[in-house]
Amino acid sequence: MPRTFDVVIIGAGPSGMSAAIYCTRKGLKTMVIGKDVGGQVAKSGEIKNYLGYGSTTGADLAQFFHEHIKGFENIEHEHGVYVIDIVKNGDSFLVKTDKEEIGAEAVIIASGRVPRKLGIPGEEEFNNKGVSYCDVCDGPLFSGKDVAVVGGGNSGLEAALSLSKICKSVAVINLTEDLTGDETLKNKIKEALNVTIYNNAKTKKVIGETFVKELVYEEKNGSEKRISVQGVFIEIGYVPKSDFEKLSTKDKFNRIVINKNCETNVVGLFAAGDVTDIRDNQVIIASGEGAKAALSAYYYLAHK
Amino acid sequence: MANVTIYTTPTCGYCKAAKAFFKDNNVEYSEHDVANDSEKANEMIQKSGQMGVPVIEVDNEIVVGFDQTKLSSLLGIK
Repeated sequence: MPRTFDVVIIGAGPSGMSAAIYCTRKGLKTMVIGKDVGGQVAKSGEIKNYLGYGSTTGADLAQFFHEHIKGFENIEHEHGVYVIDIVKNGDSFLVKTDKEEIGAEAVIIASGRVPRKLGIPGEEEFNNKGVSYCDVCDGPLFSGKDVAVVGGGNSGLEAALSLSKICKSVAVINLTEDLTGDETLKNKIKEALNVTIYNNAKTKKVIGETFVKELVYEEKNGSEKRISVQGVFIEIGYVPKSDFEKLSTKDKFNRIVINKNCETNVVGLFAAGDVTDIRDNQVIIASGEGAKAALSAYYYLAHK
Repeated sequence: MANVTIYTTPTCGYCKAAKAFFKDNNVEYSEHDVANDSEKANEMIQKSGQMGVPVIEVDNEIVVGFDQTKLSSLLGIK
């Protein structure tokens, strides 16, 4: 017999954790499943716009959120677990993880977003061996070294700027004619003495032995160039983590389509935060959306 | 009592989560800030064969990342 809950929440970032608090306080038997705790916010740097927390960091905010849900004895929290599918089971659901199947009367998908990958040779092989998607997490280990940042948008420029303060040199590898980030960031980057910008540069592969040694890129005219680097930070945006279930309708960006009450096209299936098609991706919005989804799940179950 | 060492950086969210986990379970540990100690940074990279933090050493067994399941098993925590 599978374990069953009133609500199973998939994802333990801000939207998932906020949903868990609202569900448990409504007396719903609640489980939160996450492969990690904190989601994207745990990997974020300075945060100055989360109401009530003044100037803080993503790591600290994630910790505050986690402490808050740990304070509720009745929230069942599964760490390090991957959800691999959600299927209908009569008018309930079965949430399939890599370890078990869990019964749920309602489900809230709050699985957020993951970094977009380049899909080039060497990227997987050197993950954590020079290749990183998080300059906030991993930057300090490249102190005094030469690194590359792939991506000329805001993520890339912010990463390049912060790395330029600790690394020996930073090469920004940008696909387009010019950098696409905000003007203020572009100007700061141009002023940084140890940052070199490579425009019209397509990253082709990452080379090394045990760890990264070089990045290879292609110029507009097709010629291949190499730069000697010990780190490659890939900052080319995020994609929704929505590929593990086929029940809900997705938009052209693979985000789960929801209405203003966080309802999906499937009765009893709700979604919140960055995995959905809301316009803005901000921590405080994710928290609010999680609460909304939880209340929608509560009203749904109350009338079931 | 297990000998626990954690290699961290100040801005690492999972490092904080791991330390909170140790605190909740009364696990004593020593910590090395590899952002500010290049010798320890190299030590961590040699021991774990990679550069991600946290790296947690429990009695000579290396755990990369905050793997709560593996740590619970190594530390005898339910």
